[in-house]
Amino acid sequence: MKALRQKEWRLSMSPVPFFFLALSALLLIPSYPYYVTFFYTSLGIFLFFQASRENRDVYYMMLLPVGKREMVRARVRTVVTLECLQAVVCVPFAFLRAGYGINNPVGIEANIAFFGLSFVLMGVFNLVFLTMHYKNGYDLGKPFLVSSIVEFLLIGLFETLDHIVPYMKTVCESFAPADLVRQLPVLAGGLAAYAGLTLLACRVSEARFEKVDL
Amino acid sequence: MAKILTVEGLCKRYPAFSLDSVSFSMDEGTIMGFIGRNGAGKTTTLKSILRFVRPDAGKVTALGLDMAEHEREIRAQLGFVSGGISYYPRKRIGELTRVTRAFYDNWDETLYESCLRRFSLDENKRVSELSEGMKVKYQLAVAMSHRARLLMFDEPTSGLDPVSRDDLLDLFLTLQEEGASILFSSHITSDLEKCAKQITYIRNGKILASCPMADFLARWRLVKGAPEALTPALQKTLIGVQSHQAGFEALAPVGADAPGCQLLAPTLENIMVHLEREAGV
Repeated sequence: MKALRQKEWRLSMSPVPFFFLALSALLLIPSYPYYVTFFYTSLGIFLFFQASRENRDVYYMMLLPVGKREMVRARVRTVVTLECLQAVVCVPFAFLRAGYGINNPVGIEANIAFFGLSFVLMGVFNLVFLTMHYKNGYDLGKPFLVSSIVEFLLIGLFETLDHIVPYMKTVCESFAPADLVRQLPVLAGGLAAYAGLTLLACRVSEARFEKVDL
Repeated sequence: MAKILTVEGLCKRYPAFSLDSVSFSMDEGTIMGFIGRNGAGKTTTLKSILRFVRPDAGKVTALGLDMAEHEREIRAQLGFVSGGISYYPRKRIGELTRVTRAFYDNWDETLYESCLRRFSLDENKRVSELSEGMKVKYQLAVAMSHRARLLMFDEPTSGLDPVSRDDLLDLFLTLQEEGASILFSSHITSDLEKCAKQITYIRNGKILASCPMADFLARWRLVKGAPEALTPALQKTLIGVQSHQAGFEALAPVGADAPGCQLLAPTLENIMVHLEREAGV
């Protein structure tokens, strides 16, 4: 499994996801729908899968002493690493954005609640995109289209809730230290949802890919 | 002789094609040719053996272990080489090897380097810069470097020029002398005749024969005769009759009577052509 993980980074990885990591700087824009930053993460993941397919990565792995479940598991681990890296790279930009002292007029603030809900967004993307892709291990366009639609619907829902749910309207739209502490349950819930959804995505993808005839 | 590979009742059903209870076994230290025309089920059988394709039924025992239960252990001791397929075309083969060797506990770097010299492979070349023959040789170098006991080749000679094909077949014979067991699929009968000791013949997803090559050739006679020699009675005993201006050519089981005709030892190609003609596929 260690060899497979190394293969992911030394052979399969393309520079594209790293370019999208740099887009964490979008949080510096004073007025921006910040969830879009994590949509770019999924775009980077989609392009990474596309590069792997072009390189016939599965044909390479067919020659190795690894099972199909392991192939899926290693790939999901890479996706999780990219998504967590995106969140980590966003943190300093969120601090810088907080220093502006003005609220974001077009969406949620880049605060702790934002990170929690972004993890939910990435978990849902994983569940839709990965499970659809591993139905045959080849299709990418339709899984990405469907997962993008779901992501944008979810972004719309989160932003709407931000305006109608009192807790979100007051606590989650703030940078005040006391409010940041009160946002921690959103982060914890988001991380738990992300872990659950990604684990489910991995299990379903493994089962589906296992049945695929290569 | 110990069996290195045993396939029992392998079935796989597709809408337009089925593998129908494919069974055969292969002796250790031998070269087995897996023959059949395009679409007969050679690649599907090999992929089912390796579980790239999940069979609906059947059992595969390789290197003394059940493939369904010991897939990983078996594949660590097995080399699969597929002709005409390339991956990571922009990577240098040295980069590929550095990643690949981490998958094998028994990787022998000295042996790998000697394979590179033996096959004149340059680690700095990109996969896309290798000829089809060199791609096969690279995959073979990798398989040999983790001391694969069973080498499986899927159409390794397709796409190769005659000289490269000949080189590869010589290499098969050398590897066999060094103790390797080789199963290779091909529809190029002359390749099989040159080096295969055993033969498994598949047609329409069914195994027609699996035996020593000499036994298979000895089962048949090539019948040639003038048009008038082709009587209705004779026609019933002949297989895959091919008429032409000067007469006819067909296959007959050894011992069959064909008055007024020439009875010759057939080549593998003769047998395959007439059997396929008879089946009308």
